[in-house]
Amino acid sequence: MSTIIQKRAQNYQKTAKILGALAVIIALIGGYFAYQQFSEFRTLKGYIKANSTLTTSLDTSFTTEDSKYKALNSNYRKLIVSRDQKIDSILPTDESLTELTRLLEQFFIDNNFPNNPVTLSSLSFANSDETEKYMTLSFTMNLTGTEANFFKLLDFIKDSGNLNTPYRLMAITKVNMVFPQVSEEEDATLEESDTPAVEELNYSIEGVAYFQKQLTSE
Amino acid sequence: MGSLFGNIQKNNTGTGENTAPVEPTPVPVENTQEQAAIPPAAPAPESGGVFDISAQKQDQAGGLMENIIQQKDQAADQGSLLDTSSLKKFKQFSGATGFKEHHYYTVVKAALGLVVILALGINIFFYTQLSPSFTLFGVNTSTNWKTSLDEVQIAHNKVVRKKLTLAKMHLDTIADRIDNYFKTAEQSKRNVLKTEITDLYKNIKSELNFEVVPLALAGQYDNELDTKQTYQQAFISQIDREISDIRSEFSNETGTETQQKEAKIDIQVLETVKKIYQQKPLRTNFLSITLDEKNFDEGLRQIFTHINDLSESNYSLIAQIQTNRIDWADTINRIRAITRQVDPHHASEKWKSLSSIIYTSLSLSDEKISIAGSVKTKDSKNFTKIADLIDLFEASDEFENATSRSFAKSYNPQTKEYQSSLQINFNFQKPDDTTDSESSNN
Repeated sequence: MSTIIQKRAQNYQKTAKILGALAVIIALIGGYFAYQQFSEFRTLKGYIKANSTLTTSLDTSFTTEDSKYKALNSNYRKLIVSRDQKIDSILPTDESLTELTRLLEQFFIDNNFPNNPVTLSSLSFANSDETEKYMTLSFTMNLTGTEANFFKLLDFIKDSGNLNTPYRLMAITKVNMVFPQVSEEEDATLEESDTPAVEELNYSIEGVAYFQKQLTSE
Repeated sequence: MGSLFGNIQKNNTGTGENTAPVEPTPVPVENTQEQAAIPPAAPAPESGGVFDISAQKQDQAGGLMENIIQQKDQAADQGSLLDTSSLKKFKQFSGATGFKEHHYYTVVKAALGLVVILALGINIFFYTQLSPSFTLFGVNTSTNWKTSLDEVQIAHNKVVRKKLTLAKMHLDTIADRIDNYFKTAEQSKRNVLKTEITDLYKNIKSELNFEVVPLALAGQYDNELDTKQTYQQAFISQIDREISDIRSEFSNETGTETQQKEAKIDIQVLETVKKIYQQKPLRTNFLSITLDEKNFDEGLRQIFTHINDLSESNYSLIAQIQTNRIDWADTINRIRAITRQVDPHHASEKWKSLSSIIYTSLSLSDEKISIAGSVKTKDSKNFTKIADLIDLFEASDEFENATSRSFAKSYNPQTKEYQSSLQINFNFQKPDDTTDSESSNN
């Protein structure tokens, strides 16, 4: 009988051991994960608190910046409107084709002299084109004149867009110069003469005039 | 725990080998008579200490068990039915002996249950708090954290947006003041402008100095690049949305002229804010300019150039177009200067007959330059002159890819000269071209 009792006791012992071991394992694993999650939980709580403080601080910064903005905004807008008025003749809000035609022709009239001629024989405009930031109006000019006047025209277009002497902003995209052929006889005459003869060249110029993009065009 | 089981085992061996103290086992008793039937334990010897007493108790328990079993065996030998009093005693001792183990078993089982419940409970609690997808009990800690991050992002981008708006306003103002400074000859006015410009520049530097992601958030995100992109996307989307809103508000040319102008200014401000935000190199370049007393004017020129890069306005647009324009007069003069290295009489006002290289046409565009003409020589080195000219164009800093693929010459008995046609094509040199040095060496 003592064996039965011992067996019974041993069974209890054995089961208790297994359950105990299981409890320890579960406690260890559960404890490990609980600790991990607690750490994460504690960190998140810390972050939430820190972020709340940061947001408050950022809101304060925003208030400071906004008050600076409000103080400056009125004068800034006046400055821009005034500057844009000057710019309107340089970079008009539309293609202003007629204005441009008058401007170019006036240049040739102002610079055409008997001893230094320049004549605009043709001027044609293409349809306006759109780029990312501005609009362009392409044009082609054919002219005859001295090289000096031709260079003056190149400078006139190069100086366009200057705020000090405001006129339409332009750029040349292509230049064609055709030089006159001097015969042997003409050349001999030139060599003997004291005053150089007026030599007229034929030019073709392709260029663009710029204007502002409309508010709605994108 | 190991020692606990060890003690349990040792205490039940009945051999008296264990030395650990044994607590008295509570025995369930049915009545006092039966309890009286149990032989009393022998008194502990005076000498020997605690361990000896325990050993004696174990020995007594062992003797008691043997006595009971003997009585049971005798009853069985006598052929009678199981003696009830002995059986009761057996049961008592059987239960008494297993009770301790059962007690431990119960305790351990309860402990296990407790551990399981605790482990599950704690982990479930943390799961409910830390899993962003768990929303059964409303907003949890994880969601709160995410929300706090979103709040930081919104607040931070608002501050950056305002800073860059101010930077744009200062940039336009400083451009105006610099323009006035250079136009003004009066020293007193220049000094006033100088002070104003210096202050404005400090303000711009302060406003341009910002972080895309607040530094205080370090540690709260795994991937810095992703977080940066998230901030940037949110910022740019917001700006784009506002620009789009203004455009649609003024679609079909609605609103007064003043409103249209105001809207244009707003769009330019927003586009500049976006540009400054996106273009860190532009910001860095601008911030690197030093505006000291010594090189004040030079510093202003640098600032002026950088403003046109940073700020979106008609003013900067005009400046950009002006900068990108080709100076054609200068280009033609450079072509002539190079040609004169081969033919010193080229394009001279007089003595054209002495010129050996004559151009009949010159065609220039930003993509291609073409020269057509003729070359005349008395020594028949026409091709050499053309080759020299090609090499000089190629070697120059301005041009590249100079070519002429066919050469032909004829002799004119009247002038006693050799004549060749000339056709050279080349391009403007790109910044990365390295053929000049090679060509020069050749």
